[in-house]
Amino acid sequence: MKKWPWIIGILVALLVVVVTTRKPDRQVATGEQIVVKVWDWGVSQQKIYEEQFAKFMEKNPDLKIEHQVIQSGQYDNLLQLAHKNNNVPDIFWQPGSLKVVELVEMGWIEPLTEYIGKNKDNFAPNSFVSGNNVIGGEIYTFPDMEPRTGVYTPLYWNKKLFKQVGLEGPPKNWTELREYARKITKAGKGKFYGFILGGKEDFCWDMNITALAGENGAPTGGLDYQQGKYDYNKPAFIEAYKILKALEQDGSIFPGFMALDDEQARAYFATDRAAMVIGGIWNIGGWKKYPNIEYAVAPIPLPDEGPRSKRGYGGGGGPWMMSSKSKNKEAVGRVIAFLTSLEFTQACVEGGLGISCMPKANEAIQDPRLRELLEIAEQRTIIRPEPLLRNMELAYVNRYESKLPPTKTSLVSVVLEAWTTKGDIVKGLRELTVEANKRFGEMIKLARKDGHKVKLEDYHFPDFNPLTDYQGTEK
Amino acid sequence: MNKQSRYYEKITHIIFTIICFAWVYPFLWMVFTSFKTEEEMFAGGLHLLPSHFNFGNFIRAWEQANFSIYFWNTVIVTVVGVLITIFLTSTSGYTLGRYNFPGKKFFIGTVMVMMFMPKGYTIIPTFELIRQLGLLDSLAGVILAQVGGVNAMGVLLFMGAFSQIPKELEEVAKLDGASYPRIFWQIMLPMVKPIIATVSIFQFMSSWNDFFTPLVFTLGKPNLRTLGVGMYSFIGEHSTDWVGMAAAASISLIPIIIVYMCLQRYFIEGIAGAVKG
Repeated sequence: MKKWPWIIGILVALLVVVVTTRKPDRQVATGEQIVVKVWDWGVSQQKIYEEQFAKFMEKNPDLKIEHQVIQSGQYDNLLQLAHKNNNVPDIFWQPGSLKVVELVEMGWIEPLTEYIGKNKDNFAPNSFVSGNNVIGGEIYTFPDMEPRTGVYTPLYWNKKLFKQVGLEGPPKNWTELREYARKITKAGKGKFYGFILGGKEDFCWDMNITALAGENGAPTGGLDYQQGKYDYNKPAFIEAYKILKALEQDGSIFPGFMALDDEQARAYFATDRAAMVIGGIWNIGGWKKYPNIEYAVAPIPLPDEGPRSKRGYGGGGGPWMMSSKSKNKEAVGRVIAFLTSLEFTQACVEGGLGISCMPKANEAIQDPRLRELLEIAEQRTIIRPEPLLRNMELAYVNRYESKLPPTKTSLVSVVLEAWTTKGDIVKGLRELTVEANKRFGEMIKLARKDGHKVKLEDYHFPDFNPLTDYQGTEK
Repeated sequence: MNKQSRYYEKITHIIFTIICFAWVYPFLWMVFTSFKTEEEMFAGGLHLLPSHFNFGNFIRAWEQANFSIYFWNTVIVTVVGVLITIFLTSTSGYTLGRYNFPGKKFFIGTVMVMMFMPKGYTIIPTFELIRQLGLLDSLAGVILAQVGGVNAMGVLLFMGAFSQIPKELEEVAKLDGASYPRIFWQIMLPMVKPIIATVSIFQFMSSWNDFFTPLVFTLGKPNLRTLGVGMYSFIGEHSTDWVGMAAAASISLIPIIIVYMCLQRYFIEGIAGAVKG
């Protein structure tokens, strides 16, 4: 019984702490205020967005933005439930499982052309693509990030470890990559290693293989526009696998990397346990938490023979959308106009949210690493052919994938099988090519059966040179 | 006790202390991690103590996970949920444990099947039901969604405990003129206190930590969410605020530890009784 008094004491103390530190509930919208609900899953964007929304509300006192960050894994389900319950947010990020054309057909989203107005001029060319984010001549969503830096995943190198070993700069080709990694690992004597990757995550394998193969002639995503079909038989995929395998055989990859995810791999890089890592633009933001890190951004090392291709990027993209069920469209439209303004985008760039698709806003980039990445991406990427510009009905083709029997075969599954069971990578990629083309053909057939005027030839661009921007004339 | 047995006792104590320490090490690591920087967390490996105690994580956790708002919602949802669960499971367990009726075995079988039913399969019909009741975006909706289903383990624990109470006790009470409800509330229920404690703790933990139900049923009113939802605000698309999450988890665990300490004796008895059958 003696313990009761102090247990009650703790409880009371806890309640006092909670009561005294309780923030007042959010301001309740008065009768004159219009509430605009905004949903996204951007945890890292939350602070900047809410600061900007607060500024916007100061200038627009008749509006109250209620911003909710939804856990990304549940986002699509919750948005569907919200529609079922007629409790839809007015503005939301595009759900990953649905394409713009599908959302338009479902009647979920509202055209934004009128609300974006002159702000359209703020965007980089190629930001609005018919069939992608423009349907029937109307804009339904708009990109926020620079597309080239979204596609190009560079090599990050740890300057401290390189200096310690006497290396002055990053590797430029695969031979140097292997040599440098070996040299660093040897000098590390078990304390640090040459290279690291988050081997637990499929996306990490995809990122590493695609980065190494992408400038060696491998088509992005496996779809070769020169041939108009999938081709994983390209030597680039096999060679990318081999260089990674060679790093492992040299003992240059951080031990236990197969149990690490991308974030843990990044953390080991940041704490001087690994000297090189391939990663996305989000690495730069993630490393802000490490004050002692010294690193730089470099292009992905090229094959010794030089580049055979560049990473291709398309236009268009999202994520912001407006609900067709919004009750006060004029008010919501004002928020859309704000989201497409230079003022909002510049604030996002200044806040370190990455590189924007508005070139003028990028003048506000403060982190030199982001500038380096932008410069590299400008040089190492090209505009790929856009089949949607040729035939907008191709936007419907992907939805038929869900109607085919599910497959577990992918580039990553083939790579992992070869990696872990010493299987034959060449055979695996050959079979993957056959299966990918078979499925692709079936999707086209199903689309045609439903009346869509699509054909395999729509994806065929024989005049495409994977080293230069595609400038086809077809519309 | 002779010298040798005292010596063996000490050895046993040391061995068990080491095992216990290894057992609670992940928990201790989490608590101490809440005082570290992320850099220190990753660089330090399994090292326990921080180089200096950084309380900033707790402040960030408190603000980012909306603890000040979500804490009270969680208290209401959990306390009411525990009371409803105790009522439902004890009355069901009493009926199943003390009385025979046609279809009893089938009923028990159905209850047991519910133990293996993943929550994901029932969320859509539950959502629809709560919507039609007009309880979406309310704490009542969250509570009903959490405890409205069958708490199979609770029912079975109560059923087992009630079935072991001698019949004579009930008969004497009847002879003394006690009504059916009075027999249940004043005679039978106090005899299964350990089970009440056990079911309370399990339900408390389940409601306190629940993420999915409060998230789904408060879509239109985020201010009604609970701590379980707040904890997810540390997980981003490409990164996680590990030390912030550790701090939030440490704060969030305090009430569970207090409840456990209060009911510890009964809980151990309840579990021991359940194992003995």
